[in-house]
Amino acid sequence: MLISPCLLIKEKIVGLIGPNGSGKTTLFNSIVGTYPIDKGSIKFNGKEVSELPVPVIAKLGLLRTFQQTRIYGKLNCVENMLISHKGSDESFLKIFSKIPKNLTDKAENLLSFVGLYQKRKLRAGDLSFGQQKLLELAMALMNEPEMLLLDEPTAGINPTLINGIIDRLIKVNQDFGITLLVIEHNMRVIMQLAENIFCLAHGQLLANGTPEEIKNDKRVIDAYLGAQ
Amino acid sequence: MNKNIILYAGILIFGIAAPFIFPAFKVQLSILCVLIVLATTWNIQGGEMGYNSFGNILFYGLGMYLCASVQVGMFFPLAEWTESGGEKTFVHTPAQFFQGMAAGLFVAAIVPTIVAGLIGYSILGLRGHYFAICTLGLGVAAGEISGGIEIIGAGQGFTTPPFPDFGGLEARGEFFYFLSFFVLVFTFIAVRMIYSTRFKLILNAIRDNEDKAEAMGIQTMKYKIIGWMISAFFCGLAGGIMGGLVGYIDSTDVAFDGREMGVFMVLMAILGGKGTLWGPIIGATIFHIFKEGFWTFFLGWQYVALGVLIVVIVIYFPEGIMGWLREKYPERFGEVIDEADRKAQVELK
Repeated sequence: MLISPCLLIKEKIVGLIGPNGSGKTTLFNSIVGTYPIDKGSIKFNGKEVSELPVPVIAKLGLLRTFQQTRIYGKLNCVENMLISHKGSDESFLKIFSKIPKNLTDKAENLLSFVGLYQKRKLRAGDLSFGQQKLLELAMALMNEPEMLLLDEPTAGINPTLINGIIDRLIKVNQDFGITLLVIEHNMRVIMQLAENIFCLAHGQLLANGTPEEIKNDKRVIDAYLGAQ
Repeated sequence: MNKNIILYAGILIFGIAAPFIFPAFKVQLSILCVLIVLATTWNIQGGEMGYNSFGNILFYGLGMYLCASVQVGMFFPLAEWTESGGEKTFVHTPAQFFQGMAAGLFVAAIVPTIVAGLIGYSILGLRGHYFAICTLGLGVAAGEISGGIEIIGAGQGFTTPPFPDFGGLEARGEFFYFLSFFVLVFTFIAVRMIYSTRFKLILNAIRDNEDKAEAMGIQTMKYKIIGWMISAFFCGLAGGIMGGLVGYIDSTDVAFDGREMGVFMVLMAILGGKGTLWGPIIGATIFHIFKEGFWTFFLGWQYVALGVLIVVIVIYFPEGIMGWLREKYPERFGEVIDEADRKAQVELK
């Protein structure tokens, strides 16, 4: 797959759109190290990351969420959050010591941020799909990443809740200073959210620009609706 | 909290008093302690980490052989001991016996831990059923290999040092009971402590979604190996005790008995409830009583009964007794919705 080099601007919300099968999720997988890349390079904060294994890249502060929500189903929400905390010090002493209280407080704060506080003691697997998406977002925030790759954060979520998610994503970006790269099919959402949008088609970068420019780009419209 | 202390104190007192209340069942009680240790520590990697292993029997058998070998080898030539078989040409003095036992148990715990680390490094990359099948081979291979090593008795078997000549059977029973009970208490405290740490959460994360755990920056391989090593440590210890208790080690029928003990430890943990602290303990207790009852009163039918038990567990209690209770009474396990904060849900725009 070929992707033209794209420069993501720090502390912004950037959108990634494209027809099904255009390589959006593949790009995510390549960035975080799940799929090896054939050529080219991926740099994060000026550091080459294309050869690093997945957990190491995640520790650098480059985190992703999944399209099919992935949470730890048999653990309750608070435990899901605690495990997502990035252990700065992974020595044996730290791993085999009790979980500090302030971490639990932080987890509960973030859970109330996404509106899951009252369900914090339920098993994550028992939550509805939308709530699991919110939990996954909260887990990503718990990790305090520098950059977050979100794979369709609003897919399968009811319209009211979508507004809630948009608000929260903007807040995440502004308050926590986290750069967001968002895959999204819902045009209304991505146009509201992103300051800059990249459009992929057939594994190639088709267009990039502000939401306005993308909306009026003939190539993008062709790619989505089928060119004649 | 207070209730817990009373519960633990009660169990501890019962544990200490048990051999005097049931003097005829000392050996059975010792075996029960060993079984609980095996089930509880199988649960660390099988239940909490989700890596079902049939290979823990390897560490159990290894511990058994190592403990006995060290106990003999410290004072007498090991080869001559095994060659003389049942005939006791060498006799341990009480001091030698206990020193040997202590050193033997130490080695029986450490070496399997290292072995688990080495094997784990090479096979813990396998997931799910593939891992289970791979470990199934470990026990079989170990049985065949040890059956060919002359110095530990090969196919003829290995007689462990007999209990020194004082106090007779009474003293022997009490010694092994308190040894295994002590190891059980030690195991329980250790496991309980582990379960309150971040390490346990990491194991659970690996069980529930390993890819996600990696994507969140957890180097899962490292923790999988550590988890298995902890399991192996206690398995080796349990094996060492069991060797002395049984008095005779055969490569495929006692030590690397994957067909019985290797399956039992999995069964006990599943019966009680995988991934819980008390599940394996309850499971092991029920299982031991069930098994001994059948082996005693319905000899000849025991494997039929065992088969039925396995079917019943798999169909009706796939999550074990604790899992079943949790399903029925989730509130008792802390799964409650915080009613006071319901408003927060409404406010979510």
